[in-house]
Amino acid sequence: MKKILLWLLVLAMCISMIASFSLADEIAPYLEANIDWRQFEGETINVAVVHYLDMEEIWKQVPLFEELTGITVNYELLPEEELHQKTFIDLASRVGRYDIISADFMFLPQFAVEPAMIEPLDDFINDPSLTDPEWFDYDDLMPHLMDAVNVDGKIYGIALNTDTSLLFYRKDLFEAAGISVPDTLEDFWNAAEALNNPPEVYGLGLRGLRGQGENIYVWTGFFRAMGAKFFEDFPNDMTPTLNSPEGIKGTQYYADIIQNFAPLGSSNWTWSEVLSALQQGTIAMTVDASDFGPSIEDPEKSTTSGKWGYAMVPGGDGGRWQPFFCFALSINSASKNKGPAWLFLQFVSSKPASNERSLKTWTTMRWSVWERPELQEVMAQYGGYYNALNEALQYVEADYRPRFPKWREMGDKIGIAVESVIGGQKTAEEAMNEVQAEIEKLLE
Amino acid sequence: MGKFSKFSTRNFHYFSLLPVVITLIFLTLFPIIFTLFLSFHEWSVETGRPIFNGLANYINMIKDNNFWNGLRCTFTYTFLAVGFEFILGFVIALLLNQKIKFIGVFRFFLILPMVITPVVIGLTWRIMYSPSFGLINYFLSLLGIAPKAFLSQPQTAMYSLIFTDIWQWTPFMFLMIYAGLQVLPNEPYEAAIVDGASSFQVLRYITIPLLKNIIVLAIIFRTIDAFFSFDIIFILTKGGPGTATQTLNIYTFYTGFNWLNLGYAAAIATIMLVIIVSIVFLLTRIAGISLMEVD
Repeated sequence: MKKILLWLLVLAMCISMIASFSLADEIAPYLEANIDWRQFEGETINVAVVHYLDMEEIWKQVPLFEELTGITVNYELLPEEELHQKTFIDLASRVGRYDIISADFMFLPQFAVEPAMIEPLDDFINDPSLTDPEWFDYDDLMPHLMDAVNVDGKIYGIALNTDTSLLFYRKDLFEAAGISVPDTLEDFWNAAEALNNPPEVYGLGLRGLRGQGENIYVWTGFFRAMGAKFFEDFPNDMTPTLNSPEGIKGTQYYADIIQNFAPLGSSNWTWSEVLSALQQGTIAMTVDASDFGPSIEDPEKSTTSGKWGYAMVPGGDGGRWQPFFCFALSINSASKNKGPAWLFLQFVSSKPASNERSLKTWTTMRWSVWERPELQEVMAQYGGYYNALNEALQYVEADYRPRFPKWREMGDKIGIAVESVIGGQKTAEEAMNEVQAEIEKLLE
Repeated sequence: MGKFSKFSTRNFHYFSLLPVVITLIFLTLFPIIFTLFLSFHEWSVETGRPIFNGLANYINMIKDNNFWNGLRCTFTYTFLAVGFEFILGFVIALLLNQKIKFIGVFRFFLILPMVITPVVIGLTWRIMYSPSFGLINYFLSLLGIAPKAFLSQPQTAMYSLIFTDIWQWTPFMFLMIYAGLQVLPNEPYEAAIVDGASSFQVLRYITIPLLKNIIVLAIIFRTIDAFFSFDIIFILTKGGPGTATQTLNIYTFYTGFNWLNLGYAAAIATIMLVIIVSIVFLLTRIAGISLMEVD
């Protein structure tokens, strides 16, 4: 008995030694940075982030950060609505319960209105005791992501993901029907019509549910491809132009294509209904978030893995508008631990940390990580995903939807209008005229 | 005995109420007064802090289509939901007030919907209403009826929400009325039977008058609750399609939390408070009871 115990003890020691060696291995790339990672040893930071694949992977890296810095991290993963309510109350009341919060980057201009609720990061980035410029390599961060967190020339957060939208299409069905991959809005309509064969498979699925981050995220691409604009000349001339002939035409197109070729009830569809329709194979194509890739190619979650082709979103007279979205991590301006909070952001967005996560999440904020052969290899298994996304990234710009403090209200209101057209409550003309009047009043 | 301790002994009952009063002030009075205060201010993204703007919020509200639409939705929702809940709850309570076998089992299953978290109920019903894999459409298809998108059609979305609310809250009505029935005295019934009253007459002239206070109370509770209903609507439709189910409470949420017009949201909340207080006052008046009465 004693012998067994002794062996167990030796075994336990070996395991812990191996564990500590491997942790030491993992820490090594961070120690190359010419800063004192342990300058805030013993402090604690509270982090509230959204439930999202990349955030879950960050959570797995928290022990490494704690080991590296001696800072304790309370990491809270919350559903998006709940996160927004909790963090917004905390930000607005300036209590500083959370040091780091994650937010839809479209909200940053709202949060940054003076007196700003979130902290500009420029001082931290430029402080050599907090950031090693060579190691952190600021210029390696993707420019459109840096634009996304830039409000009036100041950096208000770290953008995490390269999310845009892709045209997801079923290669097998396209082949069987003998049609080519749609490149224009017209092709897109024809393909949806040709593939629509309910109830087995519908021509397409698109988001219908209201919200600046739901239907408007996708609709904007069609609206702008039709040649419409949100404003006369954003941000110089803020006269809304939602009910221009192109705007009405784009909205009508979006509603019509859903009413004709999408499953019943689409006016109520969020990204999650679109995703599960892709996984179950009930729709032949969609335009939606590129980060669906890992979920629809996972054979455990998806009955259609391996059948997908990827392309850029269709374009029109107004050009090709690749949707853009990212989550940003920002520091609460009421936080009492801004130093340690910045170390955490720096750690998360550093090359080694992003490298490690990207293999699972297929997303990153850095060019050097994006172009790594290992990542390309992982993604290459899935047909044209990497190439399509790589090509699409050239078109992405931060002001796909206009970034300004009142965007959220404006976007949600347009979302309600678009939803009512899809639901058949109003015609596109009525809805766009009404929302135009509402937005004019909002911006008075 | 010192002066103070004499004073405190004499007024002991006031002192013992103090903790409750202080808690109440913080939990109810303070938020209400603060809401009222905010409703006369503009507090939005641009202002950053509350700026007094008099009655502007209230004047804007009169001109705001969304407000009137919200009011209409709220009244439809409250009136239909509470009405059906009352009728169903009352009938079920009368039925179960007989000597029935396994009554405990019935009661258990009847109360179940009420104790489930609203979020879970919302998600469950969202799946049930789904046109592609929902249970309701499956049963309709057995009858040869084509699938319907209940939550995405302006004509059906509101009724689907009301149906869910009825499903969840009828048990509450049932429970209140059932409890009332259980404690009714036997004598009037015996007298009525001796006088040869029909069962409808018994119901009309004895049961309902005796239950009146309980019924009014149950209706008041449910009216307040339905008037401020949020979770089910938010999960099932978010106020859509378009604005077909955007009740005042949902609109206030959007205005305050998503669009950060806290002053305007406070003004709508104040009006909602005024409306609900008037309704409660009216209900008690009609029933001839007073909530302020102290025995």
